[in-house]
Amino acid sequence: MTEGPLIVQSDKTLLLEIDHELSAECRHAIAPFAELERAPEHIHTYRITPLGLWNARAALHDAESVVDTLIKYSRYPVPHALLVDIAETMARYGRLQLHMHPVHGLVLTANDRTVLEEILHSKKIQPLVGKRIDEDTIAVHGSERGNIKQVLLKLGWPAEDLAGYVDGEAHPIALAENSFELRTYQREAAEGFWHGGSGVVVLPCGAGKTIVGAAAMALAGATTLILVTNTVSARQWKAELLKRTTLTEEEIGEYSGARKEIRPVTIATYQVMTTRRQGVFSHMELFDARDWGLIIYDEVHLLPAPVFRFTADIQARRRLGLTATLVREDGMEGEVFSLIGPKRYDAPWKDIEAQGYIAPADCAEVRVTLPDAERLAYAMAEPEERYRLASTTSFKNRVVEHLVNLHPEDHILVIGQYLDQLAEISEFLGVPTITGATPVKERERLFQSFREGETRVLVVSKVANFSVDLPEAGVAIQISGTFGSRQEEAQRLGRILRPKGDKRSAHFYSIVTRDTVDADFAAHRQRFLAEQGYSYRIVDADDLLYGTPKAD
Amino acid sequence: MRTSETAEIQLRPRSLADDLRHRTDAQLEVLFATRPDLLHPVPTDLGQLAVRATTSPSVSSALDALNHVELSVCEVLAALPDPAARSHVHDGLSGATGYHAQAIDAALDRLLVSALVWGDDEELHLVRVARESFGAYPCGLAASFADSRRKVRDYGTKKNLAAKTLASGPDDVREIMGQLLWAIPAGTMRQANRSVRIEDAKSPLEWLLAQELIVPISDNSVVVPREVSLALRDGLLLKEIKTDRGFPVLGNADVKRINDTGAHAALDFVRLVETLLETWSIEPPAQLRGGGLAIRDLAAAKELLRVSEHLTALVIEVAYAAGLLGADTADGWLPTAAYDRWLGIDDASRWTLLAQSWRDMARAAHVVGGDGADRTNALTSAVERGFINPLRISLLDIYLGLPDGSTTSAAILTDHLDWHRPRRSSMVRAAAVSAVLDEAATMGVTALGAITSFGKSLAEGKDPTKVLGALLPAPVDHVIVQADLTALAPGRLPANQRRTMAVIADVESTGAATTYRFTESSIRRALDQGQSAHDILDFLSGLSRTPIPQPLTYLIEDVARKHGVLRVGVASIYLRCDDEQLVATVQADRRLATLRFRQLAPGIVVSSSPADIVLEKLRSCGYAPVAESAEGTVLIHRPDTKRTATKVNPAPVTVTGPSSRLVAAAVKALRAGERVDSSKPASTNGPRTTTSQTLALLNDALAKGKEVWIGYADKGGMTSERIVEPLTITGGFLTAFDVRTNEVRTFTIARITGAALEENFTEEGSA
Repeated sequence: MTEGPLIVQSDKTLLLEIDHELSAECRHAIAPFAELERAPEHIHTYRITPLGLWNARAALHDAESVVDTLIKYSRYPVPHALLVDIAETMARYGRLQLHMHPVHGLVLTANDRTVLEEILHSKKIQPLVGKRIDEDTIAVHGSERGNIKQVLLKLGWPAEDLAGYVDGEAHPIALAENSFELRTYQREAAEGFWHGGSGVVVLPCGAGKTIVGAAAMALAGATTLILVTNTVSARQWKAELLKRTTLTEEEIGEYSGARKEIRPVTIATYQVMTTRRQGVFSHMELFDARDWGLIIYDEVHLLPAPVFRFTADIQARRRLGLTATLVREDGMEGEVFSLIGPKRYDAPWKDIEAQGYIAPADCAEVRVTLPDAERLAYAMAEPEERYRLASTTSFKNRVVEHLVNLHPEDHILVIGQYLDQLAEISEFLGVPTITGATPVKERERLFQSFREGETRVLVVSKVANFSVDLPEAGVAIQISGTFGSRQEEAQRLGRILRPKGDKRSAHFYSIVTRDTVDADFAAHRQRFLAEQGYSYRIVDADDLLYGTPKAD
Repeated sequence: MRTSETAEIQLRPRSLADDLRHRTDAQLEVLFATRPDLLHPVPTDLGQLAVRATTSPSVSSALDALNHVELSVCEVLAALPDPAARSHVHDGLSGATGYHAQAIDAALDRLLVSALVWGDDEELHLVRVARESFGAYPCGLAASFADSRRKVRDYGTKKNLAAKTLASGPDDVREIMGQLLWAIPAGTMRQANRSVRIEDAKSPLEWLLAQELIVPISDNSVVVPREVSLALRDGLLLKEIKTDRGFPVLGNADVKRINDTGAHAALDFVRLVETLLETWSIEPPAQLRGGGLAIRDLAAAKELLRVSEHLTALVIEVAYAAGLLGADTADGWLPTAAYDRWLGIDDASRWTLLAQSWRDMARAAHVVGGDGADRTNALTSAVERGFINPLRISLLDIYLGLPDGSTTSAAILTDHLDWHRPRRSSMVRAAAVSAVLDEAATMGVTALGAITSFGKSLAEGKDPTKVLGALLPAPVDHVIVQADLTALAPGRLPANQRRTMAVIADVESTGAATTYRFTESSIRRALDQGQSAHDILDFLSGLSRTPIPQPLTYLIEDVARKHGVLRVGVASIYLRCDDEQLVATVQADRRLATLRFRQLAPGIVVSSSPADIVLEKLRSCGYAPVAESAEGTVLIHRPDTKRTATKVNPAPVTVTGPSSRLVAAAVKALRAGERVDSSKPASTNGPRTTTSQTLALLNDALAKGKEVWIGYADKGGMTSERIVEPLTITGGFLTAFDVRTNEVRTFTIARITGAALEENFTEEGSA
């Protein structure tokens, strides 16, 4: 316990002791190549992955500096095999490069001939390449720029994409900087992206990802296609862009189920993009509808697989991915890396919180016991019915009521998965509900009334998971969710992290039925946030209802 | 003239035996030291020694021990006519790259000492076996054709003629000759044995043939005559003599860093062995029928240890070689009693045992695995390699010879070995060198490519324990417990704490530090092993440097709350009664003490005694119990009155006694048992027949209803003999009445080692 803050494990995890005086310096040094896995209170865990090392190579860090960093901060001698492995892995990036050749168009060049020979033996590469131009160069079909990057990544020889980008149709966009100021991290994120060409910016919910998007658009000064999760979110993007940039109402189009406008800045939903008509993704041609200079993918961790396929075809356009977490429940992180681009900026939640840009949050898991009668029904239920049964126990209603009363001053969101449960609780509390079935107009009216303070408590389904801007919400009560989804939990917490005027903390309650699958899923859901440094208090519902109520 | 000749003859040895006779005792000692195999057994006289020294195995192993220069000199001698003068050797090499007269002389002297070469400077003889070992074309030279072919003779005598002739030919011929010049001077050619005139030559080969630059040796093969080769090579026998590069060193590393890194690797290796054996003590992998470990189990171990297949095999093989792992016929591969002793000693001593076993073992962990038919299972004799131990020792010796802190690599060491032992050079050796180096690095014998201080002690055959002990980091006395239900031991915990932590939490990441994750199942595991929530929390708060976070306390208490709520036990009967007073009386009744009643709940007691005995006993003590069926209804035992209740005339009650067949069989069984004892032959393994004979015999016996004597091997491979009466034969199974055990059994036909008709066998047995 005398020297360095870092313990380098032979299984490629890095353990950083954050109370150590050098921890901040060390965190800064390892961030370019190691991915934060968990950030609980004392020891943060980072992992060295090939993707992370290649990200670092893309950012011009060499193996020597990585090795030196590890040796410098390590408390114990670093396993030699690990250092050798790092050097070998990093040396793999950039052996192959994609270039734009004046005569032959897109070409793959190798500065190591044996690597080129090796990959050309792969059956997956053969259909993507054309004729051999010289010993170190081979032509690549222009349309396969994305595919070849994906395949090469899988083969372990990620290509450096130096083929450049088209400028797209110029369209002046400027930030309305007289009305607000770009935060430091937002500026760094936008610039990090711009210098990298394409890539992903990771920021917590509520840290102003839209602003980063707007700043990137201002840097590009070109027509932009923005892909967002749903219509509500699309409207919010539009509102935010109108407020934060020089763009006018006429310049921004909405391309959704309801409207099909194509304007210099077009905001489309994933849903409409992935709508199939007679087996064809008819709306994907939106990618080619204009000479886009920039494509922004909001919530890139949710990017549907078909969009990846089309993204592969537009590799010549700049792409910006925005997300709160690179965790994908489907494990498609590699696709994000090869098709959108490497991670260009990352800020841990707690860092942003320390800067005061997101509110501190108090997370609690309230455990309720299933009443005896329901317990029997639960025991006899089919496995697929169990989560629903456990999570929708009506006993939760009383707990919600109690929690609502605990926070008489706050704006409260009650979030759940099952419509009948939502209906029941909304009736029980006598408050309005918003679900997928609520007409968009009605939704907006309710959100507006919530924002203005007329409605203090709102029961919402998962439509409110994303990108609904409700800055006043200070308390969220989660009564059920999409099973064990880690990112959903993060999104829901993000709903209430807007800094409050009086600096008070946000409260996040998750009501969980003990001894059932509800508790198991809850534990899984909480992992991401726990890893980001949020710790959950556990409260017994009985203590809450019958004991001394604990309000803070 | 005559006298001088006689004198010369007396000086010059006529044979190897003669040569040896002239050697001093000291010289003979050096010979024995260089070729120790000549000592086993000690030869009776020098004649016998000379014979022994020229046998093929002895010469072969002596050649194996030669370095590149010595072997080159041998090859030169093999290429030169026998005998050859020392000056001839120099002549044939002086133009070669890397030629050093002194090095050649020194090499030749060593060859003389080792008796591969004998004679004096004027007449040097390479022993015949060694000569032959270079094949038909030593130094790439074929036989001489000077006597039979005029042109060839001219090439040998007239300087530059061969080169000029070749220069005058078409381009292709020079390319062909270039290929034949240094390597194998022979090739194939159709209808080689014909005479071609230069004017008629249609192909480059025909042209060469016409010029006698190549000559036919059979109908379809040609060689370059020795004279031609030598003329074109300027009399050079070998193109290059490689020089020894001295220390096989790549670079330098800081000695302290080497030792620290190595010490951690050593600790890590000890941990790997412990992790594996701890797991195997609970879930031992089965032993394959042919011995060894299944691929599946190897893969599981690899998953567990999170290292490569090679290193997994290393851990397993070293544990086995160290006697920590053994095979148990019933349970498979299990840690031995020595393992428990090993667990009790300190880390450095543990490492010493493992490292010494590794140094001395004749097993090559890197051959484990592979695909298809070449697959090698760990823990089988197929893992043994005769060369691996000498190789390991010689690699360690090389390290010992290097200056402190020198780093090296597999490629450099392979080169080094290739120079020092060229005859043993192979892909197999190169792979083994690389594997041994990987293993050494994994175990901490080397680190950063250099030998560690304790690795040095190991290589020198000294006890490395103290040296390593001083380098090992002090164990840590605490863990850091975090709210996300993980804990970190920022170093090595003492053995006791380590074991307890491994029970109450799952190990997530290992290395210098260990991270643990607490899960519901890990806590349940601890509770199952008899710890209470209180114990666990006490242990953790004693060990943790930080307060135990609330979610962990909650998890432990929550699991403990549920733990053991449902209880499972075994009882034979229960006694239930609404009258608790009566139950208490029964329990207190001394006469019933033998039934050992135990109260489970008010009004319910259980006992392990059988129901009928309990009923009997209770009744005899004046209680009035009734039996209860599985459904909870009262069983009434009044069979006589119940039977008359039906109106239909009852069918006569058939006594379901044993069938006549069974009775007969039983008698037979008795008789057979007698016969078995009386007629049992000396061998207890039963008859021996082939499977087809067995099957035929069984079918025959089945048809005739006869008894058969079979030998039957059980799962453990033990053969016993039985007398059976076949009932059915289907799908490789024989169902038969075993007359001795008096039961019907199913036998696997493949396991029947042989069969004989019972009467035949008796006759034979008695005959």
